Amino acid sequence: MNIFNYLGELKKELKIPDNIFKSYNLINISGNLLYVEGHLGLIIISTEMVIFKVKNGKIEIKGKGLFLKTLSQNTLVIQGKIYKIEVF
Amino acid sequence: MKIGSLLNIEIAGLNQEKIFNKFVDMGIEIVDLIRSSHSTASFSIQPNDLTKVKKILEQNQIAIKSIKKQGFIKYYSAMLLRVGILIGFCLSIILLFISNYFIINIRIYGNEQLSTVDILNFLMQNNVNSFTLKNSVESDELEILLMKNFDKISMVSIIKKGATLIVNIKEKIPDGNETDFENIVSEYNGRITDIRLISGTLKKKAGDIIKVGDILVEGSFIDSFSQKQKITPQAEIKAEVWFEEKIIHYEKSIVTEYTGNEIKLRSIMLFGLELFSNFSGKSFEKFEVKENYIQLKNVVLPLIIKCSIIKELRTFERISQFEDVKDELIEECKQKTLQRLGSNDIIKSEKCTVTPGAGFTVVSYLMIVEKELC
Repeated sequence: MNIFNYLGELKKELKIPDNIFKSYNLINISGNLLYVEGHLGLIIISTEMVIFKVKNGKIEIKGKGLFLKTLSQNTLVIQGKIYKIEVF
Repeated sequence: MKIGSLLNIEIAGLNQEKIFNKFVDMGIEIVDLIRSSHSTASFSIQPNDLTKVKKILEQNQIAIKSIKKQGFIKYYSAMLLRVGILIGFCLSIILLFISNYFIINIRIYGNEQLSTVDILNFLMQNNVNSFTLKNSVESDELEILLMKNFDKISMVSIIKKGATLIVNIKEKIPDGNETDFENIVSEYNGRITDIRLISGTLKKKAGDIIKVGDILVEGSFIDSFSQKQKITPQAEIKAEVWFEEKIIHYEKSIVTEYTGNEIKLRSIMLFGLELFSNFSGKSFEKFEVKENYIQLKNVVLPLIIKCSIIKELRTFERISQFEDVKDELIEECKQKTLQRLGSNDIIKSEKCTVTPGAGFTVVSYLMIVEKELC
């Protein structure tokens, strides 16, 4: 997956400071795929809602037919119709 | 079909988020995680992680409902379970072994005057046949042997290519100027009536008695320097040739003859072992067996069909008086003598002699024939 290169290029092109990328990154692709970098564990998972921990809070994803395409130590990819992303 | 292999696990239990976090903490990557209901979920993992996953699930009292194989592993494990595929796989390995270590085909090229069958028979006599071990075939020695045994071969090369033995032959070009200096030799017994020499040296003259194998004209002459020179012998020879045939009649004789009853058997053999036979166990008291072997072609395995015919025989003592069959025997003897005559032979005289012995009688028929020997 070339997301890492994409984030690196984004940081370089827009001259974004490093500390902005330190906690977590979310990339929503067409409302059908959500790439999450820097999650700290799942709280709730269902086909309509996924909640996971991030540094200094948690993120709630609401949608329809949601499932985790991949789940690893640092990243997760949620696939399905995404309606709402909330950060607490 | 997924090339990578995955295991799809379906689980049932509460508080599943906790165990997914444990998987992630242990470095297990989860793919296609679907929480279909509050208590059930399905996900895929690498086959290597199965033991760890099972352990975590056990510890958290979550039941595994099913484990399905995905990708290549699915087909691989299916293959291991199917006996037919396994046998086929083993057979192909064996065939590969056979084709690598044995000669299956023998191909002969370049022979026009020599018969392929003769060369194959010669190779067979030297233990080179289909299914001969490739290593046991010494190409150099075979080449020398072929050169020695076939005069018509001027050059031969033998190569082993895959499972095929290729014999390349170059035959000698026939020499049109070859001359036959062989002596004229008598093939008959008799007496020479007339002999006219054309070339060569006369060894017999008119009136001489000749036997089979006697030299009549020698293929050489002595020149003016007393040197022996070769020449094609030629002569016009006429002779009285004696043809004689004999038949011995025994008053008592033991005769063995076919009764006409026979049993036909067929069996299929592989490496000398009988695989199938239609032999029912019935046989005759006295019999004669004729066997014929047919090697099946275009079949990978060297299957041989053995055809046997068992013919029933009977033996009995026959008593016959010579006087009863005298005329028949004389006629038979005459016919046998006539068979030896050529088309232009003139019969000068013929004579039949009957010589009685103890328990037997010899019938002899002599024909004196005027014949042109050459």
